[in-house]
Amino acid sequence: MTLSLDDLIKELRGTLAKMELALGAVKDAIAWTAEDGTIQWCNAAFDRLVNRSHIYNLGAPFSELFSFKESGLYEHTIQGQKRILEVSANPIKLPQGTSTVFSIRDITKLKETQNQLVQSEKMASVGQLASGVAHEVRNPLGIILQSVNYLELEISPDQKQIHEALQALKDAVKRADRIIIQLLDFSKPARPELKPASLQKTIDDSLELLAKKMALGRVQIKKNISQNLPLMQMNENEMQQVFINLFLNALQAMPDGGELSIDCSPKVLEESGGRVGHRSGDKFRVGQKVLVCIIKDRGKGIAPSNIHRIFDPFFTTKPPGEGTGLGLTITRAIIENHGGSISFQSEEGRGTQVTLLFPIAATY
Amino acid sequence: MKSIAGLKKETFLPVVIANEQGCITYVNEPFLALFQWKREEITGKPLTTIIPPNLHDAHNLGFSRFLMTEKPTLLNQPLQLMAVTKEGVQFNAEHTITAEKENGHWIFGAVIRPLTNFPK
Repeated sequence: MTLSLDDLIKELRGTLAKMELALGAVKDAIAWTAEDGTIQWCNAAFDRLVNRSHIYNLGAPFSELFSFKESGLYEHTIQGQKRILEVSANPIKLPQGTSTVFSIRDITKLKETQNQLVQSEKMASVGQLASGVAHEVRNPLGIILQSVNYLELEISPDQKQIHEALQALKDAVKRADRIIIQLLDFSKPARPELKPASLQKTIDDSLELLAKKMALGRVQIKKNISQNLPLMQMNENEMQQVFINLFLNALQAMPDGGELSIDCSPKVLEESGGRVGHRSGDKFRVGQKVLVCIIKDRGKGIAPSNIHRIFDPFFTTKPPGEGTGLGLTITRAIIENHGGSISFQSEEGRGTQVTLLFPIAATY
Repeated sequence: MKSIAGLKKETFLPVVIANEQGCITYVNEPFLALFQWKREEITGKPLTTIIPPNLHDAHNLGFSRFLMTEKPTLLNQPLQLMAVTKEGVQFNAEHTITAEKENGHWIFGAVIRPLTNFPK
């Protein structure tokens, strides 16, 4: 059986179409340039990268779009945006001249993520360093406290002013020691075991760590925590990290100061919605008793376009170097490890409300 | 956008029609005047005859993809593309390409409006 010319053309066209479709599906931008430097063919990823219609890339000089000719890493501006491009230039010798196939990968996001990871690691190192420093500082504080106690015994009870000064010194040392203990707790590696603990104490400890920052930022704390709040199963260290993250976000959302309110109370869930309901995927059931913690600020709020991304790793709206974009990712992970849930309601220019729900163990 | 039958009635602008093998089946008088070919010379030749060599691969790949997927990306819209005359003179022209199926086979037609470097 002989193949007719029509069939042969059809077969070849089929092969070409498959090649074209396959290269079109590749994520890297690919361009084939002739010896004179004009683009003879490029894929859809190339058109997207240079943001120009395919037809106008064909036949255009490659140098019109890119200045590089060889493999390497290049910084390139496309429509005012700096991109980092990893370029592989492969010369292909043909009888009619040497063509070059350029394979271009936009690694801007990858580089950003790598930089953020480096920054996170640096921050972890700073945390370890802080814990070392804290240990070193506690020793002299202990000596100061012992010396003050000794002086108190040695000085006559009549010298009231000196005793008052010594008491103030002791209070300051104890406060410094308490902060250091909290700092040490915070920098300890996460402990998986949960034990009954007070949410109120965790909130108070977190606020105390941030007291100075809050005062400097002119943030008023309005706390409304139910008396006899039931204990919940928690890892205090991790839970403290949650509240520090949330309070710091609120603080940063109110650069001119404002009010941060914290409401915490037990509640029986009455309505379905969010993570509450009767479906298998729901975290809480209607009728279940939970701890509800609402943290509200009157800050700049979150843009509607950003609210669905706030838990994304490395997503941040803070200026470069000021946020790792990991805070809320870690926060949600910790809360979910505690069987809880976190949700945000926000209005730009009016503020943000964070609602935390935690299960209450039946035995507490 | 004119149908293939409508293109055959065009007397002012150059028109070329090709079959699904990519071979030219019809050209009008303005086409012959512009591209300097004689009708009997150009009829049956591949479309790449009027496409500059550096665009042959792109044409073949795009043409083949359309035949396989039947998804048009460039049809029925004005496209600025280079074309080439019999003498090898390249010029910029606006092409508007259309495609129709006749008895299960594709037919392609294009109106070519020279823009710059009109060959004398």
